Amino acid sequence: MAGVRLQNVSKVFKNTAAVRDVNLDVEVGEFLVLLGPSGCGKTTTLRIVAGLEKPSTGSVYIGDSQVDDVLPKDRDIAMVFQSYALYPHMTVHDNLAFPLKMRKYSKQQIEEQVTKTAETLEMSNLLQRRPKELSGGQRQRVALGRAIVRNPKVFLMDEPLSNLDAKLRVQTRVELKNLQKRLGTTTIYVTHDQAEAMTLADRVALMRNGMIQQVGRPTEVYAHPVNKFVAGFLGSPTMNFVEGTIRSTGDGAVFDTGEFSFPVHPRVASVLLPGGSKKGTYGIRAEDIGVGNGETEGSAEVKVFGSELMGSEQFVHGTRGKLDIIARAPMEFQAPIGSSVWMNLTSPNAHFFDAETEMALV
Amino acid sequence: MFPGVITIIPQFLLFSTLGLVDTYFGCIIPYAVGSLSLSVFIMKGAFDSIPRDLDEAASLDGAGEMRTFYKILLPLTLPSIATVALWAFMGSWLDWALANVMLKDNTLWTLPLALYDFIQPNFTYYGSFAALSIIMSIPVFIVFMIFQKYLVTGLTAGSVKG
Repeated sequence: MAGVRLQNVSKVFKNTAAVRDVNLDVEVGEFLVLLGPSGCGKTTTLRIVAGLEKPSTGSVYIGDSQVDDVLPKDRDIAMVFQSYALYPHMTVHDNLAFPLKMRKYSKQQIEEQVTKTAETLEMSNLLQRRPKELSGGQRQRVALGRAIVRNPKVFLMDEPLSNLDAKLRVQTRVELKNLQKRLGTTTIYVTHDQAEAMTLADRVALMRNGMIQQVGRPTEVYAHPVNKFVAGFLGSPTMNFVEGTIRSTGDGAVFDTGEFSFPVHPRVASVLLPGGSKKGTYGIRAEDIGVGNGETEGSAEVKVFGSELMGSEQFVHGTRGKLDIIARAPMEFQAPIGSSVWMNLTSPNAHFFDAETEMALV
Repeated sequence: MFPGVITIIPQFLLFSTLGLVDTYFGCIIPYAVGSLSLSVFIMKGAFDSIPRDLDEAASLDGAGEMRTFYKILLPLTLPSIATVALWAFMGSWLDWALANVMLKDNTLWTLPLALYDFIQPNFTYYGSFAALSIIMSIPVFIVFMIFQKYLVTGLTAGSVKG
């Protein structure tokens, strides 16, 4: 086992910079998730670690050794591809045995390892089948098996769950996390699914336009995003953003949207000097908004234009002027379309983002 | 594309300069080269259609380039190889026009030339003609039997996708 370190890694394709000056330290045994929208450079970063792409500048270290000139086959890493990349002409057994054969394990060792891996992943009964005779979930397990069969230093996973149906994805997610903890192998996992990142990761690295925006534990990144992009990317539904001006009043501060204004929590008000005002974006998550059918102090009236029932809770979509606000409410909350509800946007967990830099000020 | 027949005269002139007329090489070389264009075309399509992920997975699994080629890529292109092989074989086996120009010595004749010889200006040996036709079809039949399990997929797979 070994950690992985990326030092000032950049990758330019023709004139497009896919990865820009990425510095990342993945500790031994850690599960790091590279998260970001399509085209943000996360897969390229993973491929650079695998050795499938050469960085334009910068270096990659696996353990203590610099591996920039080491071929993928000599890096002792295993990768699970989004497409699984199982060898279609080989049985499951041969797929699992292939990496061992290439590394000249003895026949007996190969049989032992393959049997052990098949047992770990509960697919001993599938060994004689070919990939086309397997379901998506089974193929995914074989791909995982091929990665774990030879105990590599590092696992690299490129959206391995994205081809599974929703239910299986959730189930496999848990199994995967469990397996990684049991094996204790350093893992870098690429996904664009923030729920997957939150549930799997020891740490999340959020990328945009080839740059890492924030690295941290999922709870930390969720609760304390460094900028508006991170705040908006994590969490479902996405954070509500309200443009406007925060203004100091006698005993606190209010946020003025132009349409209406509401008091802000002293924590948010701390971005202001006494008597000052600042343009920016107020960010608040659906669960931090109080919803009621009657007016309370500091709440704003919004018109309901939809609600999504999620089971034990619902998301109420409210609109006021140009603003759309989503708030979480209990399942039994009555919010018929077209009715008015009152939303309280004052919360200690709210954020304020600078109008120009979009950096979080609180 | 021009029909191959129109290149026979230039080929004959060239090969006679090289002293290859009335030798087996005079036929082997044009047959091999002639079938190459379509073979390359089909095989390129076949290799292109194999997902890159498979190469990459093999290289991460520890296989070098040659090993990846023999163990992964080649087996996956078998349908196309079967198609190409059958095509090339039949093209050479059944050719009459080129052999007729290149091979004057009847000890070197290919079977189509012998077959044609049964048709004489004033008499056709139908019995022998039919017998030799059947004999000639046997190797084609055997090759087809060997490749047929790949061929059904290969005929479409080779041209458009692997």
